[in-house]
Formats: sequence, structure tokens, C-alpha cells
Amino acid sequence: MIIVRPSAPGDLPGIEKLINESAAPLSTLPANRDKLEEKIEASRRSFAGEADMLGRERFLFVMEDTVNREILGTSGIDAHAGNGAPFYNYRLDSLYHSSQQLGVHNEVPILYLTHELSGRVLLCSLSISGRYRDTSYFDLLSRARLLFLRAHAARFGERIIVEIQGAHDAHGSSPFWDSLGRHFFGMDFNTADFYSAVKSKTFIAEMMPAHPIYVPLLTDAAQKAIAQPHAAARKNFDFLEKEGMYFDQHIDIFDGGPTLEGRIADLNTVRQARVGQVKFTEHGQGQQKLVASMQFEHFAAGLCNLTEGIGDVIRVSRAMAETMALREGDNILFSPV
Amino acid sequence: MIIRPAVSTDLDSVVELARSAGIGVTTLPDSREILAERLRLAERSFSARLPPEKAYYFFALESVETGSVLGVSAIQARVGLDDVWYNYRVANTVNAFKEMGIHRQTPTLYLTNDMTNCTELCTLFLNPKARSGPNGHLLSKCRMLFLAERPDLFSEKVFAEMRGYSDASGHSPFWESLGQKFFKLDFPKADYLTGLGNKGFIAELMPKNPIYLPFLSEDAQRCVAQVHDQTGPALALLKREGFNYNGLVDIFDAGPVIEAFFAPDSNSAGIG
Repeated sequence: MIIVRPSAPGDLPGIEKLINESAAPLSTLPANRDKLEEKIEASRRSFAGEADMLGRERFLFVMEDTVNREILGTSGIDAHAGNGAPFYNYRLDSLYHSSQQLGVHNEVPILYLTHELSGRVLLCSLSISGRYRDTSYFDLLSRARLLFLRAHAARFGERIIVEIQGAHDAHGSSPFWDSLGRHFFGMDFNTADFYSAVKSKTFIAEMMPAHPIYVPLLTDAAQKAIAQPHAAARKNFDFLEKEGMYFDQHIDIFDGGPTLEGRIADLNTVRQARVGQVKFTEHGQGQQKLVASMQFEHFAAGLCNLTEGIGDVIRVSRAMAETMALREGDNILFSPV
Repeated sequence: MIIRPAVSTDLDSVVELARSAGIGVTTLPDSREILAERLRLAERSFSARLPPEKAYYFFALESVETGSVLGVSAIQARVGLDDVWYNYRVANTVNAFKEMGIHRQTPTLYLTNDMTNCTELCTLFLNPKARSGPNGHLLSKCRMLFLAERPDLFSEKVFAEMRGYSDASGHSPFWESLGQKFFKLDFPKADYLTGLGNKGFIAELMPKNPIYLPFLSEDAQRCVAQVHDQTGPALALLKREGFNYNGLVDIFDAGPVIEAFFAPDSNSAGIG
């Protein structure tokens, strides 16, 4: 059976293996053992509710095949984007250059460095084994987080963002970076991205030029890359748009990838989630649903067939319920697949 | 050859000169109407019918033999008092991060009004047929003598905007890489409008935030503070007089601004 649960220190080798096979490297999940270990530890302490993590909780989930203990994917939530430090984006804005005397009015797109999204709930660290990318387990991995947010709404803010990796060209470099960041760092995107993962993104962001950037001065390729998702991130982008997130006007300062925004309460998974009371059944009958326990430290989510009983009663197969550490009478959240 | 104040009856000769000047001599536009106004302005300036800060002293180089005007030069007593006078300051932005071995210097253009209220030497043009001999020197340097005679009329800081680089067909790589992206006009047209006195209006359409130079084409970057091929002698002459590049450039063609502090007698009153 396949479930999503909080990551644990023992998951390190499994996560490393997953990252090394991943098509699109994720800056929030670095292929660096020490940083990864740190991230898992920060997550463990966040789930344990340790006081010094307050205000910078970072939750990392893994999707695991419970039979052979293989890690099939990861997904994460940072409770406060920036984790207490400023969280930088470019805001794509417009200026009107206008002359009454000459009768000319030009709209000029411009990028402002901003950290106004600091402190929003941030979805991050999504990574899935190629074998499961195009299955309903992709949904499980990504949406399990949303049920976690729903189950523990009081612990989180109302507004949520996600940064989608930006477009790269055929040579694997980022046209946006090549036209902008590269001038100030003198290094290619992947090198800068590595430093960003190792040093902290805020640190690198603060070396970016402070003045706004006129979009018409960027190369054509860079202008086209603004708010364009990376081919490997397209599925995630489409998926989150269907959930109810939307591109407004923020992009990544390095690769120009779109930042999607939304309100947690408005997301489909959250809106459609209902609470039920577990009763075991020996048969796996009924409709397939996304199911999550309402535990915090021992959160678990999976896909299972449910039948609705009288009142709030939901019948869950005993095998699945036990895998998710559910007991009869526990409350669960379920949402349509 | 003599230098004398230009007068309204010089209009035909001055229009003829302007026609042959071509693009980039912004202050000598090919417009009869504008030039007539300049001459009227000059007459009122020399006869002190204008407040000193509004004065425009327009000089003509006349051949005593033929009576024809072979060249012109001028002093604008103050700039930027009726409209807004813009330049870019070529500044430097440094970002450094030792651990990553990064230390980058990025030339950055800041829009300024720094020359406001200063005296400008401008409108120097000499008929190509008269360029041999000392005529050019005479036209340029007569202005220094005028300044020396009446320091009370001028600011202590005197400057000149040197014509920036453009190619044989009049294209300015700097304009094409910057101004044109914000204002859908080619350089000759923008330059013409500027000469007609629309510089302030055009500047309103230009970017107000600083421009990091690496965003411009390499050709455009090379143009910054470079003079036009034909402007070399004029620049050399002013440098010998004590003028120096002051770190400002023209916002359209990036030609350098050169300046000098003019103080013939530092004890004399009235220099301000």
C-alpha cells in the first residue's frame, strides 16, 4: 500500500535516491546530504511542535510503498515562506510612460524586487518517481498536503503560494537568468541555484540588483521565459491551477518561473473535504477517495475505497486503516479523487 | 574673419548652415522657424532686454571679404530653469560575496538634473569649407573671452555636451538599445524633436529608474561617453582649455558632458 506520511530521519537514503533520478532538480530539495539531513531534521522538529521552530515550521512529507519501504515521492509545506527571513520575488508591474504634449502613452512592463509574499504558506519540495508521475499517486502526493492544512487550519495562515520552476532552453540553461542574474553573479544558473540551495535563497537574493528591471531591456528569450513553467513542472502547474491557484504577478528572481497564489479555503481539495468517523470493513468496496487522518505528528494520507454509512460513519478497509494508524472512531478527512 | 553677435538678418545663412550640419548637432535644428526665434532671442540677450538667466548668446563667424556667415557658436546662460535638463550619470554598482569569489562592478546609469542652472557652451558649427586654419578655434574660444568679460552673467560651472557616437547613416547604437525600446522613434527623428525644444517632453518618456549597463547591447555600452568621429577636434580643443569629462552623458546618444570651473579672477565678486 502507498501512503503519504511525515518524513523521518531513516528516509534519507530513499530521498537521496529519488532526487538523483529526478528530471527537474528542485532548489528546495538539494542533492546535498548535509542540507537534506538538516531539512528532514527541521521537519521532524516541526511535526514534534518544538518551540524554537515556531514561526519557521517546515514540513516534509514522503510517499512510501509500505510493502518494500521504497520512497516514491516527497512534498513539503513551509508554514511561513522565507522561514522567518525575507522571501524574495519579482513583481511584474506596469509603468505608463506618457507625454501629453507628444500624445504618446507607452505601457512599460517592469520587475520590482519584493518580499511581500514573505510569511505566506508555501508549498514546496515536490518530487515524484517517474513511474508514478502519471498516476493518481501524483494527486495523492500533492493533495495530501492540502488535507493536512485543512485538518490543522488554525496553525496556518489563510493564503498560500507555490513557486513553479521556470523555463529552460534546449541546453538546460535559463534564458531569464542569462539575461538578468548572470550579469551580477558571473555564473551560470545551475551554479547559482546550487549556492542558493546550500546558502539559503534569501542570502543570494540579497545580492540581486536593488533597482527595478525594465522588461524591454531583457533579451527576447528572457522576456518570453517570464512566468513560463519548466517542461518538467508543467504537470504540477496545471494541477495546481485546477486546484484553484492562479498566477497573479510574481515570478522567481532567478529563472522567472511563475509563483501561483491562492486561499487555502478556496482550493478544491479543501472545499470538498468532509469529515467522517472511521469504521473498519473487511472489504475494500466503494468509491476511491483521498483520505487523511487528522493527526498532526502522525499524519497519514492515502487513496482508498470508502462506503458511507449512517450519519458520519465511513467504512474503511481494515488493512488500509491499520497502515494509516487509524482506529475505529477516529475522525478522518476525505475528498473526491 | 570676425566674430560678432548673430542678428536676425543672418537667418538665411544660419538656415543654410543648419541644413549642412546633419544629425546630432541637436542645438542647431534644421528649422527656419526655430532658428529665427533663436536669432531674436540672441538680439534681446545682447541688448540686455532679457533677465541674465534666460539669455542665449549666439555668435556668428563672418568673412570680412564676402560678408557671409561661415559658422556659429553660442552660450546658453543657464540650462534647466524653464524646462527640466536631463543627463545620465555613469555610476558604479558593486556586489561582492567573498565565499563565492564574486566581486562584480556594474556600470549603472542614473537619470539626473545635475547640470541645472549651469552655463552651457553649445551650437558650435563651422561650414566644412572653412574648417582649415584657426576658424574653429576662433568660434569656440571667443565664448571663453565673452565669459571672462562678463562673469556676472554666467554660472561658475560651464559645460558642453559633446555629440555622441553615431554611424555614417546617423544610427546611434545607444539610442537603439535604450531610448528606442521606450519610445518608438528612430534617432534622427528624436534628435530633431529635441532640437525643436521637445527634449523635456521626450525625456518624460524615458525610463526614470537606473539602467544597469549590461542590459544594453555591447555596441551601445561602447558608446557611453564616446564622441562622434567629427567631434574629436572640438573635444581636444576644450580639453586643452581645461574642460574634463564629468561623468555625465547625454540621455539620447550617450555623448560625454565636459565641464570646467570658470573663474578668471577668484577674488572678483559676481561669480556665482
